[in-house]
Amino acid sequence: MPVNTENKLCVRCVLPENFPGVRFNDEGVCIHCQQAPSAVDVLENVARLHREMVTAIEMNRGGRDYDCIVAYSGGKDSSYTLKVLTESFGLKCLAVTVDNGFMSEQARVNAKAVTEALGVDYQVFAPAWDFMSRMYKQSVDNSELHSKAAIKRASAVCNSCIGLVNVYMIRLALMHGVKLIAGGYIGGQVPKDTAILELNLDFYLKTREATMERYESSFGEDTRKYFDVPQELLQSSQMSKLTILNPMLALNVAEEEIIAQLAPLGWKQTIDTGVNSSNCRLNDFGIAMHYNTHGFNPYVFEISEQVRHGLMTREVALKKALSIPSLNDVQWQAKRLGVEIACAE
Amino acid sequence: MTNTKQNSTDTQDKIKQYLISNSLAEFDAGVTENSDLFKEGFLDSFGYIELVKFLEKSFGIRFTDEELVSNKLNTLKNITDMVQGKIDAR
Ligand SMILES: [Zn+2]
Repeated sequence: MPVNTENKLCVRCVLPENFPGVRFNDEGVCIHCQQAPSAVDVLENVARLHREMVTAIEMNRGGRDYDCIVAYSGGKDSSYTLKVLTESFGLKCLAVTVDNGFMSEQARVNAKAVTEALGVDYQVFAPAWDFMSRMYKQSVDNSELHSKAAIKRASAVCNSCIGLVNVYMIRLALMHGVKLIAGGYIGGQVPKDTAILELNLDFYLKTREATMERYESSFGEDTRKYFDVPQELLQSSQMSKLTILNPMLALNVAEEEIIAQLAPLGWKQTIDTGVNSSNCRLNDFGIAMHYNTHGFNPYVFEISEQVRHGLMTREVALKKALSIPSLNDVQWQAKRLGVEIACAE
Repeated sequence: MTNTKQNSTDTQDKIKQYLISNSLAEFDAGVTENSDLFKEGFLDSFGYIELVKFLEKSFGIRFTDEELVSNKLNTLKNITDMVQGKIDAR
């Protein structure tokens, strides 16, 4: 893995100067660090989010078949989320994995072990490969697919996949009469301060229409099956709102602590998913392509946020942010997707 | 949060600055204050939720659910008008 040192980085976090919208002061501190709340404020904010989450859970538990649908990748963050919701909050969860065709074998084993140890129902949904490969290929080929700001959050292939997963969780919630959906997103991966997000479904579907049209013209047949929530389902569920929880934002736990807490459940670290993922083998491909197009690591904002919150040392963050897989490293994924990528010497 | 009343130009500038730095919008010949920010690809559902939070917090206003799904918050001009209307009504 080549290490990139071309761009100046913020001296506090690791945001590079070419990250969209970033500015540095004379001391080399980025605008996000300049505006960052103090350590005390961060803790207070986390405590407040936690209280709000407790309230949201109490108000919305007691769905028909389950209390909560958990978007479960088998990775460390969503494993920890599932553990907390089940053990600390006593929620009856349905854990759901969307198998995107690139799931690590170890993640599969982990998901089975964790759900078994926690005693929760577990479901795997593997969309047809024909569609998934088309979706991923188009995500690479079509730069207009996602909103301009989406490149700050994740790579193009990740953004498509996250969209598909989110919609599937919403459909399941409506089908099972469940008012809570939880995911293991951490700070930086979702809009700021969205540990609890009340989603008005009408509003969500309306604001998605433009995205939907781009998706449909790009992914073709079956797009709406995977990305739309049908009106009939919405009506028959008689639900108008869902509450989306991102407990990781209200917990503020460091990576090592998460891994230590998951070990007794039989969760083991994956070795084939790169430094920024613990479940997906396509992730490195997304990073390599993103870096090639935009010149920065799609995880760099999230990593920087972790540093700002005192959850990761700058040293570890630097290592993560600078280890960019080369296009050579991700040839097998490209081949599997039928994507032509130029190979450096 | 601000309690001092401000005029429509200040309001629009503040919203425009937000859209430029957060949604990476570029207002130029092709994108004007009347361009649909969703169709131009500057806003998606997540971006919209963030924008609404920003507007509520920085102008000290609240939107109703009806307003949020009304499709009225789709251009810089429409957003400004709606926000200014709420500020003036205070
Ligand atoms: Zn910084």
